[in-house]
Amino acid sequence: MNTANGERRAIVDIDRVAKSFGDVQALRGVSAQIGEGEFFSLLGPSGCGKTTLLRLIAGFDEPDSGQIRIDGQPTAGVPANLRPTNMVFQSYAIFPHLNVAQNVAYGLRRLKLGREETRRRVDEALAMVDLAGYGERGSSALSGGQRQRVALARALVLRPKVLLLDEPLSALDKKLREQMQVELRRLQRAVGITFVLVTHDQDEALIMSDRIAVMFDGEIAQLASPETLYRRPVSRRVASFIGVMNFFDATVKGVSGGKVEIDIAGLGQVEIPQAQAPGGAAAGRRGRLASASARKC
Amino acid sequence: MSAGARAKGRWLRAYAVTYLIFLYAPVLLLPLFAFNNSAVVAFPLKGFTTRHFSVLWNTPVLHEAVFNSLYVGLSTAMLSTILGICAARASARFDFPGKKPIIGFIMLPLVLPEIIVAVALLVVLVQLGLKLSLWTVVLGHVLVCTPFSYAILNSAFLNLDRSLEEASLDLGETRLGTFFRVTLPLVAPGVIASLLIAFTISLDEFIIAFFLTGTEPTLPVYIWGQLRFVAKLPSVMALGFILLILSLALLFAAEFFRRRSERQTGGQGGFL
Ligand SMILES: Nc1ncnc2c1ncn2[C@@H]1O[C@H](COP(=O)(O)OP(=O)(O)O)[C@@H](O)[C@H]1O
Ligand SMILES: [Mg+2]
Repeated sequence: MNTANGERRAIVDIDRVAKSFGDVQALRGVSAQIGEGEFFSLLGPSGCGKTTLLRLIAGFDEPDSGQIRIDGQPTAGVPANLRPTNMVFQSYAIFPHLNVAQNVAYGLRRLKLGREETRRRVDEALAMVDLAGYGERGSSALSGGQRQRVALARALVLRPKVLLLDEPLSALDKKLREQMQVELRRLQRAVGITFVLVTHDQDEALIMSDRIAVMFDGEIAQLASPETLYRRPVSRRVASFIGVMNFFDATVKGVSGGKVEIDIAGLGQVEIPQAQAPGGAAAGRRGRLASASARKC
Repeated sequence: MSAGARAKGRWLRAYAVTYLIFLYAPVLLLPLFAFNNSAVVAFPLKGFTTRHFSVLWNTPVLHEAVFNSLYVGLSTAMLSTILGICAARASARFDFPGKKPIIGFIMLPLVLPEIIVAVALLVVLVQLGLKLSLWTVVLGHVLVCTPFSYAILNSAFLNLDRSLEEASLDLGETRLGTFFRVTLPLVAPGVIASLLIAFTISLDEFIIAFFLTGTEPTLPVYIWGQLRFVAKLPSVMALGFILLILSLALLFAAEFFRRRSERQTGGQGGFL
């Protein structure tokens, strides 16, 4: 197993969380631990429950069963406004009746920092997302990319323990999206806050994340680093979702000394390290081998 | 388009124009006779005067009626808008048992004949031993104005993007704080439209006011009283003209704010 992230303390601990909406089981017992300072992605096709999980962490909904701990504290019954998380909404949810600076300062009011300090922190946050000097702009005059930056600044200015991002880049055009992927990653490194990103774009998740939870139908199919996901997907479904792959029908010939010898139809005998073979490889078993880089040896 | 369809279109237009003339011709007579220099309301016209307006200026009873109407109108506007906000907010955001019938009952006065509402209210108030006053009129008017307030505010609340309220909560604001800092400012144009519509309806409502008023008549009830005196007719015309202009101004203002509310919250569709 390569999902361990031993050196990191868990900041979000999701423990067998289930959630249904009427007949729809949006989450069926999801468990995961998100490490402090980690860039964590929830990746999966539309409707697999990513947003539902994010909303449970944020506190907009309560799980039917299971629990979520944030920084060691159980969150059951704690409303969204008292949780140390902030969210960047898919629609960005910029307040249309407030200008950019007022949007960013929105959550600071409760902290009663005083005019000067508030101003300083708003300016700092705007500079962080490359919007210095945009404070007096009306929010309706912003482009999609700028709205996204305002949403980021508005959340980051509160210095949350966890920043939740629901498909923050899906509304941007391709070029801007690629630029923002790099920028988000840089920003996350700079502020050191845990980011939990929801996306259905595998490239995005692979480029940006420390670890990725691949979700199908309300369950986590695999939770691993991008490297591991790419090289050793646990199932054909994960593999085909992650990207271009070659699938080989193969029969295991024998296992010896850390090597698995397999017979691939049409290719002949191949030896692979046991660590790369699907679990439970034993002589005589037939299966499918997925590989991004199959070498003949 | 075939010749038949074209002929049909022509007939339809002729019908619509005739219909509009019949509908609005009486209204057009108002300014004609309001400025007509004659003691009787009849053709032919006799020349221009503003003396019917100065009669209005010199009638203290009329001023009291105007004051009564403003009092009732403002109170009605405030109350029905507050009730409308509560009902609209609840129905736009939450599903609760009995929601459909409850909304149905709120909207019911819209289709009930006003005379029935008026008589029923009168019977109840008398049974309860309450004295008729301007406040009983307000009560009746709130009943008929709340459906309008609810309808306007409901669309304002429905058009409001829910994630804006969630964003506010997420940023640490309480539910109450969110209502005042995000929800209310965004539905404000709807609130203003509701105030204006309710005020306008209350201002010219007659039947309920007639039944429920005590010794203090509202403006329509006062006007009705004056109709018995032929000599007062021209000044009633002048008064009617003023009311017409005022109502139109209020309605246009209400529609202006309603459209603005729609733009702000991103919805569409017309009401007027
Ligand atoms: N508020 C809700 N009411 C009813 N069904 C919902 C609600 N939210 C989500 N669902 C359902 O739960 C499932 C998961 O939704 P969601 O978490 O939004 O998926 P994703 O974000 O991965 O696209 C979907 O089938 C969706 O229709
Ligand atoms: Mg989603």
